[in-house]
Amino acid sequence: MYGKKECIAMLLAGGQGSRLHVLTRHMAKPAVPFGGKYRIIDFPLSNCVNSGIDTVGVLTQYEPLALHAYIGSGQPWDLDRANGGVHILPPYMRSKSGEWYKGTANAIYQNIQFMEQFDPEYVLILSGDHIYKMDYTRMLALHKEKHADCTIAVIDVPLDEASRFGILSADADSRITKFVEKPREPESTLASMGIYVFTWKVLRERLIADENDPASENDFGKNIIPGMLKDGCRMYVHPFDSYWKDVGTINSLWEANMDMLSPKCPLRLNDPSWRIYSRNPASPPHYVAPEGTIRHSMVSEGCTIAGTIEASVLFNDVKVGRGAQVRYSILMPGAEIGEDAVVEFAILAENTKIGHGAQIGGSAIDPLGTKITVIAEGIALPDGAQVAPGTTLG
Amino acid sequence: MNKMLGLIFAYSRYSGMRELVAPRTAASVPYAGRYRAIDFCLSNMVGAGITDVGIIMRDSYQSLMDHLGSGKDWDLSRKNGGLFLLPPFSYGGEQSHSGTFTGKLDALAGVTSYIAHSREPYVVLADGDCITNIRLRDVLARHIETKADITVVCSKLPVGDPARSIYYRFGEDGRIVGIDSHPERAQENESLGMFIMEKRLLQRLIQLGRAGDMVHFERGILREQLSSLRVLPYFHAGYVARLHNVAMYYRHSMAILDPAVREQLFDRNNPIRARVRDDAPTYYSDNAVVKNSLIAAGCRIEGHVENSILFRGVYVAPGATVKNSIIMQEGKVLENVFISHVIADKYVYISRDNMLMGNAAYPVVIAKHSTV
Repeated sequence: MYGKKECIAMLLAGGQGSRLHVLTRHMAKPAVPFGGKYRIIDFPLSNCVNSGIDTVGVLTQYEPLALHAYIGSGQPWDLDRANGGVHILPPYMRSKSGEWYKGTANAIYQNIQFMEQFDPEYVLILSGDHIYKMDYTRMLALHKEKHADCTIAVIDVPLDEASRFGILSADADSRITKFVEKPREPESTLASMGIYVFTWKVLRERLIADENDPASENDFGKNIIPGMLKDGCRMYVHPFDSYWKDVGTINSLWEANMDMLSPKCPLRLNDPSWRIYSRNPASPPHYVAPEGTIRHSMVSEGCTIAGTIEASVLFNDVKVGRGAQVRYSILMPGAEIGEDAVVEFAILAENTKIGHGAQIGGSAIDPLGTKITVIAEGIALPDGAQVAPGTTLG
Repeated sequence: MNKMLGLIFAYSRYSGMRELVAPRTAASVPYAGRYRAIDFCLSNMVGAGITDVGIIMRDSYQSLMDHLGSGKDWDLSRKNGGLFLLPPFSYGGEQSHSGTFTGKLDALAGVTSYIAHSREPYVVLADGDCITNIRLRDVLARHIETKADITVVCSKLPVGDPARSIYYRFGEDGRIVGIDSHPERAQENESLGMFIMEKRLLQRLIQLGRAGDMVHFERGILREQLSSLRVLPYFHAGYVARLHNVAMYYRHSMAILDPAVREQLFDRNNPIRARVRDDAPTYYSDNAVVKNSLIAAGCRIEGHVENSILFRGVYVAPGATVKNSIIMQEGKVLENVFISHVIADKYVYISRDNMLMGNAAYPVVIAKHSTV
């Protein structure tokens, strides 16, 4: 049915992202809006297309409706292809049985048939959890050059954060010597980015063996990678040293959005040589009223701004009334801020409505980190409402 | 369902538009920060469920073809029908007149095969450079309800340049009985160049026109047939922009800073679609000052912008002031520039310390790709 592909990508997009609380109540984490017009999944999808990978399986499971609707035919990413393109892969019933995706490795295992249609030499495993721009062709080139079975993208992380990641050690030839998932006392600061290139023949064997092992949790980080290393497979690291951020928590999502405002941020959203594609709303340009003020902020199409915006990220079709003040906040599509309302250090999900004179969040900086206020999708707050810093409503 | 075939005339180039129509036709002129004039017409058709749209072109159509592509941004990349680009010499043979043309009827005669091929029972003709938001489904419903032979969309108040416009006179029963073309002064009941009729009737009119050697539609065949056909008006009250000369272009551009005008043109229930460019949101620096302006995506604003319209990818450097101006796609305004009443076409580069001022009646127009 399809022609042969040298490399195809499998994007794990079934995660709930429970630490994003109300933001992921009705959508999987990869569908969460980011950066004024994108959703998290736009980053790995655009990286694939920009890297010349035109066949992407997107594995969905948790609350997939928003994600399925968003991806559609794949046209916004130029992934509506006759041979390849984007394929949405939820779990399905088979003739004898059917089951949910049990773990990351099991999810890929259940799609062996899908992958074999393309008779690939290599398979790129990605997740829909991170904001980064990466040329996968360079990683694939290294993989081929080393005749590797598996190549893992790694990034240097601060030592005190290393215990949150899968930590690797490698020799002078970049060959992996050790891998420990979330070590208490990390031996190195090379963290796995959850981006793997596998030689398909090797991965296929490994997935089948892993599935037949009743003790396995069917997880790449916990089972597949350590098992391959133990058996002496040729495994290499591909170092990455640009912007990469896990947006798995409210605070990290907020921080990553704020990072996009910094002129020093190495990830430039508006770089024409590596565009991030997304589904575009049909909204007119945004309008700044005579009383509006916008500083150090990003504003998308369809907005109407009559208030003051500072250090904030505004998605499409946001309305900010006269005298309102928005600082250090993220306003998702369709959010409306009433006149004289004050919104600070807040994430307002899609179509939230804030009444006149309301006070949302605040600038209280906690020693344990910024206290971000979150208002869930569709919530309407009356005039004069007060929401304390750090509250989650919804 | 009663469906329509859409035919858009996209070849007009009004000399009053000066540099703005040097690289393109009026239908392809950029408007309102992210659109081309033709986007309104196309979106009105798509909004009315039309899936079969032919674009009649004559010359200087590279810009238009580049803009429209396969039509997918308007949802017109279809298996059945979709967007058809119809340049001159599209068809050969006896039936189709081939070659270039001067009037609308003449132009239609060149695409009779395309019209015959369509399966839709109705046809809507429209000027690609007439900017408005109109529910064509309502116009068709009225057309059917009133049993008109032809329904013409018109504006009670004049909008266009009289030398480029056509006006109607009505009889006591509301039928159109007279057509005044290009008078010296503007009149009431201006034609918006939009017509709905049965396809069969259009085919017959084309045939009659060919037999009588007529090239014009309104001031030709329509005027001649007024006594035998029931031609009824449909009054459109929404905002209409016609781009017949630079002063009009400037006035209609500045009008979109008025929220009431934007509401009419960008009706959420009849969205206007533009070509997608995948720009990031616009970034405002710490020193940006922006007042009463319409700003598209992908801009970077570090200076002062007032009463202006910025298209996609525009840069305004620190210390620069842009007032009462229109800067089209990818325009760059460098440090300490002061401009007022300027229309900068695409890819204009205004280098540091320049000062340029026009006025509303005669704005300074900077041609595409110029460096100042």
